Amino acid sequence: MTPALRKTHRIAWFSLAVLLPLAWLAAVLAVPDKLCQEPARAPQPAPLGSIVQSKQSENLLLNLRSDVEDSRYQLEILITKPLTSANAVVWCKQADQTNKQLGLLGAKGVYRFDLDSTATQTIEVTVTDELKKQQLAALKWDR
Amino acid sequence: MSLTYDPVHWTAHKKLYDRVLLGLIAGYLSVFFGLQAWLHPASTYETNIIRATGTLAFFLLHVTLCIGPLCRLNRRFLPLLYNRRHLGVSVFLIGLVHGVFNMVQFHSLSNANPFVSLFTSNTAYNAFAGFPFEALGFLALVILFLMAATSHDFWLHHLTPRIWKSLHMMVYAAYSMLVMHVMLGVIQLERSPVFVGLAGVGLFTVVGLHVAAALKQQKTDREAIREVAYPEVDAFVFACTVSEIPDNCARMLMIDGQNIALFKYQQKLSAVHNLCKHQNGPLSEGRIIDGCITCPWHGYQYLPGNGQSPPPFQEKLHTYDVLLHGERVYVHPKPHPEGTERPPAIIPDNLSSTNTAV
Repeated sequence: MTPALRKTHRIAWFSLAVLLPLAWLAAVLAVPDKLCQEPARAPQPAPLGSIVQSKQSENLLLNLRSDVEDSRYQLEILITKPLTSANAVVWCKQADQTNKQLGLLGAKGVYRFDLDSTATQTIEVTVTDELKKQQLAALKWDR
Repeated sequence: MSLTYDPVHWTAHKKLYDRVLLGLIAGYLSVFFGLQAWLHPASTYETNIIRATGTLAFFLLHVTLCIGPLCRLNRRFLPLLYNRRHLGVSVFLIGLVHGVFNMVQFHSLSNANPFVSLFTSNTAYNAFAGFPFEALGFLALVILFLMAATSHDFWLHHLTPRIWKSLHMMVYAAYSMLVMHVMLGVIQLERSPVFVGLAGVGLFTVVGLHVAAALKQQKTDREAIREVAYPEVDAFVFACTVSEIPDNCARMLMIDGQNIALFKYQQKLSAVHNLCKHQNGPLSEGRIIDGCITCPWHGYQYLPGNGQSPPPFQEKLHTYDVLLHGERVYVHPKPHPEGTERPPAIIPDNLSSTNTAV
């Protein structure tokens, strides 16, 4: 190595000896406290104790679950076969007869929605394809 | 009689070097895949390959970069330097696998050209934490490709050592980019203190070794400088005393911009240009072996009396006049044309040195 090249190496490394550790430290400090990316599926609530009613359709199995005291209700949907509908919305009828959207169905798996079921005597849930305006499944239960 | 061209002059040392290197690579990949299967059984083959090749290439680059300064600090590491280019090419090839799998996994399954997607999927070029780290990795891979492609001596001869070395110094830019590729990429997602620590250890090791070697060499360079401002004997410049040079070894001198290696051998003193014709290796750090100056880097040899390589080789060095006054050795800074025979200075018997080479 020529003296000139050695000098260039020295300049380069004395510079990197300052810059690289600073950049490393800056990157460490920039690490976020929590991940920015959204998880693919939101965590599901734990299933309630007993199934009070079940309904099977072509792609879906709907289970209405309740706790031991019958004070809380939960809709559990199992997608048994991949949905052919691009859009599948889950609705629950309210006391004022309007439909409240509980959520969307997507990939195959289990979905659970806690129901606000204290007000109505009848629990009525439907799964619809809003694009094709079709009902995919429905479940009704009188308490 | 036939004439053939051998692109690689395989030696026993090269073969051993490559066998050890391939063994280490195979071992690392086996252990990595095994650990992945145990700790992350759900991860796919593509993900495992991306992780394995990425970490391996990064690790090997650190090893490659450490060899140079280690050799400066301790000559025992010199055998690692001889075929360092094999390590460098391996780093590029493993990095290439990592890059290709990343391109296929993340950028090839859309309507956009994968290379366009690479630079446009994340356009936060004005941010730090969210900076497109993939672009840094790609640019570093381009530099490593250029270095791997020109690693053969063919390019060294045709580009000249000066240009070739300047090109290969871009490894420092590539290293910086790869450090940031890791710190702004996987570290931001994994957030594990172990990975942060490992990256830090690697970085500080490489930087620390280079700074230590630079400081040591700076001291040696300063000691080698001889001022022409005070020439003593017919424009000859005092170099050192006879006893300061071990037998079959050399003293490096910087006189009037001339980098000179002053060798003592067989009761004689000769001076040649310090830089090997092959890759500018420091001849003064070499020895006289079988009557020839031997470069410590790759073993190129030159006759001390005329600076010529023994036949059939044709490399030649500049030679310099040497004068001995009592115990004091003087060197004339004006170089003779390459390969010029110059009579050595004869060391009288009463000055025979007991200072032998270690």
